[in-house]
Amino acid sequence: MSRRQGALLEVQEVTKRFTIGRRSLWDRVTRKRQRFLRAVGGADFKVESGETLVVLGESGSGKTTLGRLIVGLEKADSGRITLSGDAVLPVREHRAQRGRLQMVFQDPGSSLDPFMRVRDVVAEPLARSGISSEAKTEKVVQAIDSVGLERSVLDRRASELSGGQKQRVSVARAIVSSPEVIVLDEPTSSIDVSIQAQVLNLLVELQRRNHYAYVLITHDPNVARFMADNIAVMYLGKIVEQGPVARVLLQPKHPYTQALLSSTPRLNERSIPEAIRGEPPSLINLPPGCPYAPRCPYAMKVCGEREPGVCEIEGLAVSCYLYDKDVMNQPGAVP
Amino acid sequence: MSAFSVIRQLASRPAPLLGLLIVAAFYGWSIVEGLLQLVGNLTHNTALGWALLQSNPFAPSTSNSLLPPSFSHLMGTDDLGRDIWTRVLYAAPTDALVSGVVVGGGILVGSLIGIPAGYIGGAVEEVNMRFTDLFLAFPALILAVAIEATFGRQLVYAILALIIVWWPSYSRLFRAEALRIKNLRFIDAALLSGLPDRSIMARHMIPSSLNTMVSYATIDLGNSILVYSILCFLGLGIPAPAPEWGSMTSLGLYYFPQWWWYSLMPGFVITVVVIGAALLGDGLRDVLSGGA
Amino acid sequence: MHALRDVSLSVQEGEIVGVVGESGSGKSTLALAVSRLLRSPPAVQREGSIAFRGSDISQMRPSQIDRVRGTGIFMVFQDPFLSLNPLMKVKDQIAEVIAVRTKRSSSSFDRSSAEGEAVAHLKTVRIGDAEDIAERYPHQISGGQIQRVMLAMALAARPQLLVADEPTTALDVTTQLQILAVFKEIVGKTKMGVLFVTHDLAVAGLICDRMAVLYGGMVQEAGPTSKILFEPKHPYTVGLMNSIPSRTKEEGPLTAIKGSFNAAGLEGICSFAPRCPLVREECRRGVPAQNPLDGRMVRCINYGEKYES
Repeated sequence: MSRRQGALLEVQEVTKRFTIGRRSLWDRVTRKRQRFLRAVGGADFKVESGETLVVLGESGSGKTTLGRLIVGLEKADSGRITLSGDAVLPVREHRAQRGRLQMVFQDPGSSLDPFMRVRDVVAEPLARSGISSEAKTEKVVQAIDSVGLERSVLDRRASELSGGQKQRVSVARAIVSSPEVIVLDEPTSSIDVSIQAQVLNLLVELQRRNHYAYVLITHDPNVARFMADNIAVMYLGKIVEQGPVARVLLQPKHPYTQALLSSTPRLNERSIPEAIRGEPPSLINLPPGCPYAPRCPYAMKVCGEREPGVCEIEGLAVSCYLYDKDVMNQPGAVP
Repeated sequence: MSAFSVIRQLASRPAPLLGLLIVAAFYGWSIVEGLLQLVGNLTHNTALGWALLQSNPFAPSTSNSLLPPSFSHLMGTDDLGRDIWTRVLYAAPTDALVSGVVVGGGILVGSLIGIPAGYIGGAVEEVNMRFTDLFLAFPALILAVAIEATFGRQLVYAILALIIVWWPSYSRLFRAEALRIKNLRFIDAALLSGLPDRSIMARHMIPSSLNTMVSYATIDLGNSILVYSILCFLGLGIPAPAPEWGSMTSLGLYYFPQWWWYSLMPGFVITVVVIGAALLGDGLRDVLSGGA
Repeated sequence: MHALRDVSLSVQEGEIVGVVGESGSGKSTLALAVSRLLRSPPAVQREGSIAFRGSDISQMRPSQIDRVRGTGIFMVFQDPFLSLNPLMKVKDQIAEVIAVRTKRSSSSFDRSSAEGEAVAHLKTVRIGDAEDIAERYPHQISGGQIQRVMLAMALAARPQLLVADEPTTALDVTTQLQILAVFKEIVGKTKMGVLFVTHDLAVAGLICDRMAVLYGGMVQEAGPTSKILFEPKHPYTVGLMNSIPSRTKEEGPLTAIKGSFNAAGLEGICSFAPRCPLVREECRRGVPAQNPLDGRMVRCINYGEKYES
């Protein structure tokens, strides 16, 4: 059994910024301020093996960057990411973690090298594993079987497959090295709804059998509802609310979560619900305070001054002053 | 898509089909004739080189001097009475060899310099691309003159000069391809699989780049023949009596316009091959990019 | 290869008609056909007509079609990045549409009022900093913003029929809602007819008055939206609705439609037969004909054994 302390995957106060634009020599001389894009600010959560954490957010929320940070495709500016206690190092510098962390990408078109044969695509994670080629072939075949594809696809080129087939191959590639954590970035957003159901069923089945920890990134609350054990809702780089799926989806506390859920078109709904006002702003040079404040119907003065901390309430972790007793108990703190 | 389906698609429209036939005939013939010449030279049985031809391309025959095109001499004869069509056929393998080596060499060197520049970026990119820019500035003909003047008029030096001026364009193409490909998700997947950079470049960047480049390279085969022919035309190819398309065109000018076939026929053959390569390359681009 | 077969539908003034389908259903082909934007060859119209205000536009020559496009029929495309001229500022592109409109209605075109109108339309589609965006070039704005610029152009054109191919797919959920609200507002005010093509049943349910479900190039079920959404009959419609996750994984796997769409081998049979949970022998005897049923039309042997001749 596990000899580790704590959870399988731990993400602690992780932050990532990207610099915008190139600074020429002139810019340096004139001390022009470097502009930053804060993709992820202070992300903090744990995932156990056999469990799924869904990161729910719209485009621009930083969810993809968070996924890439977890597997090491990006390097965090601060904070720690550990896998069974071992630090997750950026892959460009340390290729040693291969196999333990894998990723399934959103776009089936660019996830697989179009000129490679499927058997080579799926075998790639085993390339540096040192096992014999017979053993490799066996694992590849097993992986293809477990994702419900026929063995005849092994000899086809990746470019000849349909979108749904490509995503299945992506999953096969992700599981062939028996990883501990799989990050799935919008794995079904680019395929047909009817195929999406098949792929989601497959993912659940594989997790039950092999106890992978999933971090599943999506913008679709329906997918979140089906797949998640826990949900973390992201907005402009911050996790604004997290907790067990039922609580977050049925009794959301953060105003953004409430707005997001009510804005998602529901089948059988015939009238357009009230939309939240304003625009999704950019991540460049964020103003101080809570990122949602400009669009929040409950915004108070303090919301525009400092970012709220995390409040634990009813099993959820929410970043919102509405739940901060110190703030709410003050006179005049009416939103 | 497989080679067969590509050929089938090419053959379905007249222009690419024509290009395909010309290029296939040219290289097909050159391989056969080139092998015969090679074996012939190695075994000191040079007559092997014209075993398939109607006459000895070197043997003069003054009585047949400067005959116009006819059924027995499809392209007429030159001033020494040698059949021009025979000499054209005999010279074909040289151009085929030059085009193959120059373009192949350009791709080889260009990929070694361009792919790391695009993929790794940073200092590597700066150094490699400035190096490329340096060579891009060399004028091909002047360089060829300089090299041959220093080392002598041999085929290998002409080819060397051409490769030197040819690889920079490929370096740029490969860099552009590497830049495009490195942002695709399967490169991330390769990184997660623990592949080192050199494997990623070899296994992923090269096949994709080559696919993008195949139509350009095909047209380039024609270009290299054209430039080599110009070199020969200017007197920088293999010395006489070896037949060479460019040299023949040049020599023939002395007999122009009264004995027009001497210059125009070899020139015509060069044109046909270059156009054939261009048509084929164009057709390949349409087929491989899936466009109509 | 049939991209579309026996597709019949109508759009009235002030009506939003939805065409719902997945990839391979032919929905984009339909949208392009109605806008007369399909390249022919390779597209060939074997039968049928497309009647716009009583005239069959499918038989018109290109010069006649040009007069219909813009103020008659306007199309918003799926891929935002292919929709705008990269060399023209946003305000100039909208102004261009206004110029066409004013010319056709024989009024005079005034540049500054056109630019003002352009900014007003940008505001209507809820684009932030409209004046600023108006001065930008397409590569300087996001995909979602380009989509909204296209809708602003549609407003400027004041078409009688708007053909929209997945107009909100690239947008955030909240922006999508705003845009759908704008759609409804515009249709209410101008009596524009809309052909709304989407893969998202829920979105269609929000704004379409009537809808058609497309599969394998044929309309499988069509009728008032409420009927289709609340009492779906065709097995594909039912399967599609079930594919949308509506429960947790503990409550069991999703009822997925098995297999995937494959155009091969569908000649002469019901195109959904290979994947249908209710398939019978009769489903392969011919192509099912449309049956009126309970206020809508269904193409399914289980609801009536009739075949196309």
